[in-house]
Amino acid sequence: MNETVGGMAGGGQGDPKVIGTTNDRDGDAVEPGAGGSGPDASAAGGSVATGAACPECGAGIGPADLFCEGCGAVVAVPGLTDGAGGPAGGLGTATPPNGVGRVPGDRGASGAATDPAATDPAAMDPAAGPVAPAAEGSAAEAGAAATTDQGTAAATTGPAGAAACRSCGGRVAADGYCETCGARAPRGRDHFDDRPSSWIAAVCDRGIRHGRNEDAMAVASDAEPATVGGGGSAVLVVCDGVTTSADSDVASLAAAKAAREVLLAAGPEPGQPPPVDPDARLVDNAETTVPSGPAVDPRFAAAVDRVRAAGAAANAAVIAVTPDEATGRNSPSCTLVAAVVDSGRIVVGWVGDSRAYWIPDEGDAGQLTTDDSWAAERIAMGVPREEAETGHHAHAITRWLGVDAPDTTPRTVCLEPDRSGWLLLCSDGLWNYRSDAAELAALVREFAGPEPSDPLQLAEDLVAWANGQGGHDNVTVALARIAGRAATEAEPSGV
Amino acid sequence: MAQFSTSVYQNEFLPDGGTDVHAIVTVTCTGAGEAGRTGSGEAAEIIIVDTSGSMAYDKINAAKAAAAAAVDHVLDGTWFAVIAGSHEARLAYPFQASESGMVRMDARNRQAAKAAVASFSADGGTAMGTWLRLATRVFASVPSATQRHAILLTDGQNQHESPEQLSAAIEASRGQFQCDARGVGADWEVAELRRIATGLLGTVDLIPQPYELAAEFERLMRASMARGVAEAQLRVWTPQGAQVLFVRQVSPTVEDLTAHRQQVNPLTGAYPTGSWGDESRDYHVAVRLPAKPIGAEQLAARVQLAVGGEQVAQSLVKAMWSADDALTTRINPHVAHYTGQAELADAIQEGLAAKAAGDDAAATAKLGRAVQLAAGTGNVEVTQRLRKVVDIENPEAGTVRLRRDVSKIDEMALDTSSTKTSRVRR
Repeated sequence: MNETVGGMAGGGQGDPKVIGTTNDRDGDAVEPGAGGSGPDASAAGGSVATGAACPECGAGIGPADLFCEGCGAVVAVPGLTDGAGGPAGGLGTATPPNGVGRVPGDRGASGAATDPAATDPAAMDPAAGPVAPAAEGSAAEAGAAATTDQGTAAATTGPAGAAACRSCGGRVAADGYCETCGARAPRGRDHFDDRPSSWIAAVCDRGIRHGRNEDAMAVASDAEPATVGGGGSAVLVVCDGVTTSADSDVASLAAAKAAREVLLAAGPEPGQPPPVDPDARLVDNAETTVPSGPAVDPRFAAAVDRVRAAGAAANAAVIAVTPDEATGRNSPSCTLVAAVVDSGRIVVGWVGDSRAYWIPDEGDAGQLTTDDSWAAERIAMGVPREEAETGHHAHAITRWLGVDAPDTTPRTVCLEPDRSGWLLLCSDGLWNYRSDAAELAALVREFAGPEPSDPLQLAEDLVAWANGQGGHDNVTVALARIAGRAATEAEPSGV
Repeated sequence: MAQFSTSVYQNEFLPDGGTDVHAIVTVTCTGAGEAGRTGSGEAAEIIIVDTSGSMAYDKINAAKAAAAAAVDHVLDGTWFAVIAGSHEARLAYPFQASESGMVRMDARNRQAAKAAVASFSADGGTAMGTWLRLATRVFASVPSATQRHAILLTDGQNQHESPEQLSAAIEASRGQFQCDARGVGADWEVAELRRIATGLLGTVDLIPQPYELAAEFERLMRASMARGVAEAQLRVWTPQGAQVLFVRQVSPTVEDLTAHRQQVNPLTGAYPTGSWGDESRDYHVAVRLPAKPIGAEQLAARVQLAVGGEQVAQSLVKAMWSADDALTTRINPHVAHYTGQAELADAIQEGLAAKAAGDDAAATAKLGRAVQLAAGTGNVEVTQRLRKVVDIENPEAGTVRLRRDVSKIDEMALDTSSTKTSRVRR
């Protein structure tokens, strides 16, 4: 349904880019004679030592990596805590059906692998600094190697000692499949999450239809929650690989991580004159409930600068993983949406059609980003949103990161929430099913409920919901919870 | 130390609404060691020789020589015994006041056993069920022997007991020992020995001439002594809601194991495979799943080998629903090959049964199909044997004419070879 576009507005763009449309399977299909031999290699892959090399391609593997960034091979199996020592598959001990039916999206469906109790300690570690990058993937998923090397005390096993099947609640065996219903447990690159603190979380999922997860995300945060007008800081990045190009799963992950690194780096020293960002704009009342302001606000300038630098770093990272021979349509490419939350202020930058929404607990929600896409350009010309976003070229994007990208500087938007709510970053795998800000907000509020909600649970619920709608694309959700002012009475208003 | 490995051959892609998953799982054992010498229990052998009246003259002499040849190749230290069978069973060696008992093989016992065999004379009728029951009791007298194997030789039909009595004896012996059954000459019933061999995890074959017996017995005993893994189970896990359509060994011979399932847990069945030497066997596992949406992936089966209750190898049979016809219509050559070989065995046996019943039309159709399948799967041995029973006009189309001058022994040879499969041409 998409091809793409040389942009109507941007002018001079290179090859068209299409996000997430084809239903290709990658090379892990079992060819006759090749597949599934023997005592599976994965059965021994409970954890990977620091400084290990990928068993598939030899690339270096970080202590917290679930999968090789070079080739995507799974190097650690989430929830695999009995390792190779146990009877892999455990046929003699298959868990009988527990009778507790559970479907994706069910409240409380987050299994042991993403049990908040297991992941919290990583973020709460006081030694981790003001903004601690969390382990790649949740601590529980990454297993013992990840958490030990982070110097944290995160539990490496969920309460049950093994991951629970997301389909039926059964036990996931060492071979990566449920012992009861046989469902494939999401693993490695296919499904990973992160919850660096109680108020920041993200989930990245392969979806249903695609054979490969080309989405990526990276988040980090302070333990101290952000509040209206103050509180802790965090960074969130979502990238969506372009399906029509090779290795976009590698590119998107590299981009997300590179962007996070830059966003985590210290900003300009206090007292320095803030750089002027002509593109920065403040969200106005028409879209959200935040206060209006001048087009360029010096209070946001440092963060805007960081976001732009993050975009440049992400683009460099994509180019770095681009093979020499890759050109044009085949070169790895991805989108970027990145947010900085600091001192109660939010700056979002983007390239492509991954989005950010501000969803206050009360009042009107708004889409912060404007897609760099054919559809967005048609909307700007007056075509109804639904028609533009579902029609021909709906997923064609006009800007992207990559060696053939004509313009990689993120457009930015700034806001300063005046009430509690959710900052939501997502790939089109989510917004394809709820594009309109008000409708998406209704969904988020329904899942979040009246009480302050766990962001990881909410992100999992939204991903599961998208998969329940068909899961036609990879789906990624990153969330930041902004608490109300009352929660931090000592904070200056700052507004 | 024996090492097992498995590999799976399948097309894991199912079309929209597809439910049936077929896979060939190859299990290979290396480093098996020798029977009774690998620490997994002691080995025991019983040689069962038909001494009925029909064995008189050259057959009984050949049987004596064959039994002696087998005795020569029983490893020292192995428990063993010899049974002489007629309308009743007699423990011919060791000589004991009580009916049952075994001795360990050594030089002295070997000579004594051969002397006992040499004294055999042909007399009486045939009741193979009694032979099996005595063998069961004799084996049971040595509880430390965990690997129990017998060679059974006959030349005639089981005339002195009912088919039900034989079936009951096979059932009573199932799981107690393995038995390779051999028929000499053309006067025995292939179906009877096949029932024994299938029930007792052994092989069945025809020895056309008495003088060929000794070499066959030596070969059988050597093979048995080279099986250092006393007992292994094939275990098949299937997901909740799935149905095991069948589990069959497809190489080196076709043996349907489906009915031999022993429940390990509600989702897992165990199928006995007997003892193992250094060898490969192929299994065809077919599972029916509830259909899932396009894009879904799940496990259809875990196929494992378990020795002493411990899993030693596992392969995963997968299912992925896809809208891509290029993937879902792909036919796995291993699955196709062994599906054809299993159908070939059925076609031959049904064709020969129809021929025996005088239904020439059905026999022509079935054996024609057999010719077609044998040609298509490259089973040269079966094709040669089919040529002795039918005149082949067109092997590809499977058009044949029944031959009128067919010897009984050629039909029996075709029957016994029907379950021997050829490997996939690679």
